[in-house]
Amino acid sequence: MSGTSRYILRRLIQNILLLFVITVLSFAFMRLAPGGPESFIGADDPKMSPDLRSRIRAEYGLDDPIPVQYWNWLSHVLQGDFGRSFIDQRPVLDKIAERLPATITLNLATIFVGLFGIPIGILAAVKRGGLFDRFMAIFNSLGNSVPHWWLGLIILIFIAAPTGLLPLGGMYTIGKENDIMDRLWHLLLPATIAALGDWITLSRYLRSSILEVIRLDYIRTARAKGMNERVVLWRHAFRNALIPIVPFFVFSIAGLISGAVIYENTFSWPGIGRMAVQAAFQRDYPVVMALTIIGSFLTITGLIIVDIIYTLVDPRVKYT
Amino acid sequence: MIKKPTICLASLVAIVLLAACAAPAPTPVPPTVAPTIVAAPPPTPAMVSPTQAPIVAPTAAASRGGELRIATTTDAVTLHPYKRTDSASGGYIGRMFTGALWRYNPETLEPEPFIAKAWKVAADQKTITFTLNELKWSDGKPLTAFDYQWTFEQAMKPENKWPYRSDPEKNIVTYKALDDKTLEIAIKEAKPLPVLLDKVDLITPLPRHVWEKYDWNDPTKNPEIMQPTVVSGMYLLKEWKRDDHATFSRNDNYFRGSPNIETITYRIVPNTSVSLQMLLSGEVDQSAMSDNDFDKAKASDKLNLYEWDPAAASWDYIGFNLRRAPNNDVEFRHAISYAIPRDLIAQKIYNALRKPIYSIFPPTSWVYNPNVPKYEYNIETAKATLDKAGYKLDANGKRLGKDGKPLKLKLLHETPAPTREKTGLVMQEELGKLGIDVEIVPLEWGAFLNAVKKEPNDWDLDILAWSVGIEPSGIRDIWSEATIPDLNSVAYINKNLEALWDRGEKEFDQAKRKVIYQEIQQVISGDSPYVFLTYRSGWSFLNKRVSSNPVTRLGIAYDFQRWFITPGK
Repeated sequence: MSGTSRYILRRLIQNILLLFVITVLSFAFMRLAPGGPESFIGADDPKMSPDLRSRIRAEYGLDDPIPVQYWNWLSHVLQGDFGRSFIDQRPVLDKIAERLPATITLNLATIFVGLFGIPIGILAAVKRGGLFDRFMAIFNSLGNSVPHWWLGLIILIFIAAPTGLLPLGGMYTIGKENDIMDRLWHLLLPATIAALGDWITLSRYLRSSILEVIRLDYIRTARAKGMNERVVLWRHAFRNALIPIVPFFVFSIAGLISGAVIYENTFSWPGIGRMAVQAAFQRDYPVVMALTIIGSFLTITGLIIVDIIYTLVDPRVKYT
Repeated sequence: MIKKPTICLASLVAIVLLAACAAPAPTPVPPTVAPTIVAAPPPTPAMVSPTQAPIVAPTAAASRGGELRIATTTDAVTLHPYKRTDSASGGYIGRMFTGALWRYNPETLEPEPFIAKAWKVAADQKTITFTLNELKWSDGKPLTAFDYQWTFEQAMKPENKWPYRSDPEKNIVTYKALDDKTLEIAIKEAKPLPVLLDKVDLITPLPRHVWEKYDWNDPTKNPEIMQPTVVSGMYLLKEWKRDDHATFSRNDNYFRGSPNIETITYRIVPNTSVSLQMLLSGEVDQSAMSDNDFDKAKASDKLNLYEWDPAAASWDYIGFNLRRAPNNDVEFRHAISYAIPRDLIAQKIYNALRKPIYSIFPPTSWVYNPNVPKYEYNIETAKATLDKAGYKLDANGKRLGKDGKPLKLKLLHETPAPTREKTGLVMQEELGKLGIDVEIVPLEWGAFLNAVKKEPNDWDLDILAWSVGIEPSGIRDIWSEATIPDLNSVAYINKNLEALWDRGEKEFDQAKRKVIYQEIQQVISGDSPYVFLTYRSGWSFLNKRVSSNPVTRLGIAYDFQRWFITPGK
């Protein structure tokens, strides 16, 4: 077994343990938060039965000690059963699956738009100190200092609403579910706003990374050999400059599910983030736990993939 | 029910639309109802709006077809009428299912038959027999009294966990269909008609011929729970994409006639700034809205404003935790009541869309007592009351409790809830003038409920709200020792008061009932377990292309089947 394979195997085992710890912690935090799924019932409506609360607690096993509850939950999850939502009694996985298309669409579009940061970063580095570079520096500082969801809201109120050039939210015009152009039109603003952070970070990272590489001896050598500047940039500088931004993409794939709620709210996007927040407010433990596990799993897998990709893009990286 | 501001906002549309329904009401304000109206609704453009002209003669100008588009912040959770506890689900269910045997006439606010064509109360005042109209399910099958009975029997099974089961369990003795058209219901104790009607009208029938073959509880075994196909109400569910939109199409078999508007679409827009823009730009016809957006909507030439003084009010209050000092001293509570500027709260925090309230019933209620002690805002009176009651100031200007320690009150409220947050700050400032420190603790809704209701009840003041129906006996349980700590979270105990409530439910003479409920208000305002703050005015914006019904004290939502949309407008 090579060093890298051994390393990855070790990482896998570590990460399974890590996942376990995450579930224990999030299970405990969720149960220790004040109130339970029953606390909203009977307490606020004179006509609602107060005894329903104790029956609900009993049915969901909420009166058992927390370790027992955890064990019950874990043994079901290990068999692939994430349970039923406390709120509407539907299987948790059905509820999540229903939201995935919306979330994945927005995430992929966001990553795609984020890619525009690459040419911007390169251009800014190549024409360092030029007009474009300076413009982007200002743009990036401004973009970083404004909350992006707020910017989205401002664009909705002051541009989309009065002009009608952009939709005010939603995934598609109701009734035009299969119209690709309509869907792209609805994606444009949410994806751009959600990608703004990626865009800025990516272009700045890439710019400084290229500038750093360009100063190195082997580039000077390449130039001294009389090599075409384009070849110098693309074949020698750019490829090495890419290394620091690899994890960036992997994390944006893993992290977008958790990061999406604020954009989903602004743009009325029916994604997983809104469901997660609602579930937390309603103390819908099974849904919260399932989303936590899936989110942690993606993040951890992302970390491992980053490690593997590193060895591919940079042969100098070796794990032992 | 306790009103969260967020829910108020979210369910504004639902509440308005569910409010009730009626025969043509030519005058907007019923003359006979509340003899003690202190404040009539201000005249608004809506009341003289030209759109109302056609409605007086509905058959002449009402056009059929069109789509009503509504933006709402929260989507429904379930469409099972016996599982839902939230108002968004209630809104959808109300579109699809109807079961109300009677309703309040929107004009007179007197009970009148609705799905039932008539009722007859037996001599014992315990049994009532309803004769049903000619009714059909949306699939054309007859809707009979047996559907009612079957639904009642399912709902009452303990294993089916109906959230509202305890009340009928206590009160209903028999609930049976005598034949297809006759439903007989008996309750345990003789009650005056309005209370009797209130107790027996609890079932929204489900189509037995469809539901019988399915599981009552499990949405994976009963497709009707999330996607009802056979309904009794005005609309059928066409499509529901969760947290995105829900579309309803009209039911031609609705017992009061096929609705004019062909389609209703709810769009779920969590951010009210965005839904306001949709309303202003004409993308939706109706929207959830915060009080602070009222002026923007009013200025729009696309919208009609409808305003009314509601017959049933939702009011907010500051509750005193009576379990501990100094709150358990009635003089202290009176002093605090004097220190609360209700007018300022109504004007500044609620953008004048609320009015001060001094009692458990609003001035629009038929039992309203205008002579309750009001404790109008006066800091000097508040200080004098404290001085007299023995709460002295120390050298630093801090008010001392009876134990000689400076007073410090802990105020809990829900967050995020901008109006509650601002009310808390007003409290802090005003009580500061009395030398009393207020520590504000904002909590997320679930944590808030937990802190208020559970041991060790470590709080002094909280901010909450109740929504009160037309029939005054409906809020009795809030004032009962038996409902501590749930409905009666302040732990207010007054046995004489409970006896009064009991008498109110048993008195058959409506005039005498009124006297009893007025006395109840007198007692509660005297005891001041709450500082009553403000009650919500009725208002709604609709795109001008939508024609609703004339404004009554029940709003505009009654008889929704007569709403219509003017094409091309």
